[in-house]
Amino acid sequence: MLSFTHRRRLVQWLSYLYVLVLLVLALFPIAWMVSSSIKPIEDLFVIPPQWIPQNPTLATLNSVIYGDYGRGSLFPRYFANSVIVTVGTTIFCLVVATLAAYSFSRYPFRASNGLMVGILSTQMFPQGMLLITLYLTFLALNLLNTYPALILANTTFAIPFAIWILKGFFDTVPREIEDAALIDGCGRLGVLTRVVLPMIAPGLVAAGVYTFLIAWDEYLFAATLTIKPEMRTLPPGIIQSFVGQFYLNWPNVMAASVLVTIPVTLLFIFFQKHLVQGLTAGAVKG
Amino acid sequence: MSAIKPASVQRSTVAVRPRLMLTNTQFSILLLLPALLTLVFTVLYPLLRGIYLSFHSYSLVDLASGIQWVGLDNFKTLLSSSAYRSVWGTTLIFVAGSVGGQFLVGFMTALVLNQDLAQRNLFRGLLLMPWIVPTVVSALLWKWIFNQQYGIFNYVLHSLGIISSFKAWIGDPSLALFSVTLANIWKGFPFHMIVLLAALQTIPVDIVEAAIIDGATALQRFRYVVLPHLRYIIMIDLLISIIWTFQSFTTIWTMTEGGPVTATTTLAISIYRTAFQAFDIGMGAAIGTIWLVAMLIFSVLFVRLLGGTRVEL
Repeated sequence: MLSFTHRRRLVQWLSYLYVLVLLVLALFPIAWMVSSSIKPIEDLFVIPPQWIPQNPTLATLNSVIYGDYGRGSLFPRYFANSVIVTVGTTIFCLVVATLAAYSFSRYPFRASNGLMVGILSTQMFPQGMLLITLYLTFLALNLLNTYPALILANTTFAIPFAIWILKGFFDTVPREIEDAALIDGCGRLGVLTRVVLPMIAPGLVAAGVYTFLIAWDEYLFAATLTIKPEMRTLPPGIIQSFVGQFYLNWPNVMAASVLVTIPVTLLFIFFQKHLVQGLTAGAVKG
Repeated sequence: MSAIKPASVQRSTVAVRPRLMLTNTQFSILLLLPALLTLVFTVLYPLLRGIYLSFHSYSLVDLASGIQWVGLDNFKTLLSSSAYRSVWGTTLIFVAGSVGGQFLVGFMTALVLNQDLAQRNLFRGLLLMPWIVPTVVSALLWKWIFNQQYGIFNYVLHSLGIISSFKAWIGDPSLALFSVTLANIWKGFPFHMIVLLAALQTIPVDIVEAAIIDGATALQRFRYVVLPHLRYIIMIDLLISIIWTFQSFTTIWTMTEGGPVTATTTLAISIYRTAFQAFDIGMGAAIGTIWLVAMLIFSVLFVRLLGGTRVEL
């Protein structure tokens, strides 16, 4: 029979062991991607694999960005498209979701609860089904291959979740502060923009970062609503450029993957705390 | 103090001056309007039109015939098709495997990280990385890892003596669904970890300590203190991730396009193939309509069974 302190120490060692194993499983694939992206092609296709690149090179990254064999690369264009669509989606959703979340949190009326449930339940509507009509509508409006079409399509899943996150934050603001501001003659909209919004700044960051992540990630809508190569965002762009039916350009695929991952990784490093807080603010209060 | 009162009375009379005065309900609706209008255009209208189309025959290959009312024909065709039933089977295996795997790993990790470990926040941040990596990237990455000739999955398993010959993890119809599910577990477990860890941290310390003093074993504490406390959040977490995994398109499409043959064709893949590759819009919409109804029924039953009391959002 182990004593209490011994058992406690054993549990702790097992915990560290578990975390260590899981860290390897979680991070090794990412390290492998980076390693694969800086190998010359002849070092990529070898068994046993070269864990650490013996002849590291930036040639593949270069060819992804600038093109090779005299052909230009569309990668910078995809990147710009992704930035425009993602930033557009983020700003639009943030404004619209902030107003809606504030309404749900502070001025509930009879239909509010039903509307909130309705908005959240849109998450279970099959995206492929929505896409049919979105495609036909944008086709009729001559909006295929445009940024507004992609931004609007992204709102289908971005707005509901942003509202959920932001409502969680609004709910934490004490009502008395707003009452005081109202009595001081501040209009209702002024209370929101000048008093409440500064207080939930972390929530705005969380919802913004979250929207950015899912918009940057979006593939299905972007692949269907854009046909012109120069209007594609990164996810369909990479597939289009490097993944053929019978041939996959692995070195370029890995290099492009690294480049696509860098922006969201930086974002995550800077805003990790906000993102974690945001994901859990709506969930944990129950 | 007495000076403040008249001032505030004065201000509130100022507020009555003639200008656009909305009741609180009107103001509230005004705030909701931008979000509602957007969602009506991007979700509600497409949804209703999708349901409408599911009762019609509409093929983009045969535009001359236009949209024709066919009643329940699309649904009858689907329900009598063994291919369609096997799509449901594939979807259920994929969802159960993905959500089950993600939840188990995520919950276990949350329990481990909830202890007093050095560098806990660093571990949490690093373990979130798979969730941050874009889905297309993680799918391509796993496709490379699963590569039959040069993939490290085969190499590592072979070196450890777990497999005797290199396998076609993506190309073999009997393995592809497993491979795709594994990739999806890797990508999705951190979400569960982060949500459940946050919930674990809300359990009051004194309750846990009281249980320890009362001589409850770790297992008893888990069963009688932790689980009841987390019931609501576990329910929400599972519901959200089941709904999302049904929607999961990118991972499967990038890794296998639903193949080989139809080994990884889930509902999400099936709608896309039907509506955007075979251009059979009516049938694609019908697949979506049945799926939607199934999700609604499932969600209500799920919340009833696990939620017990009314759900607060």
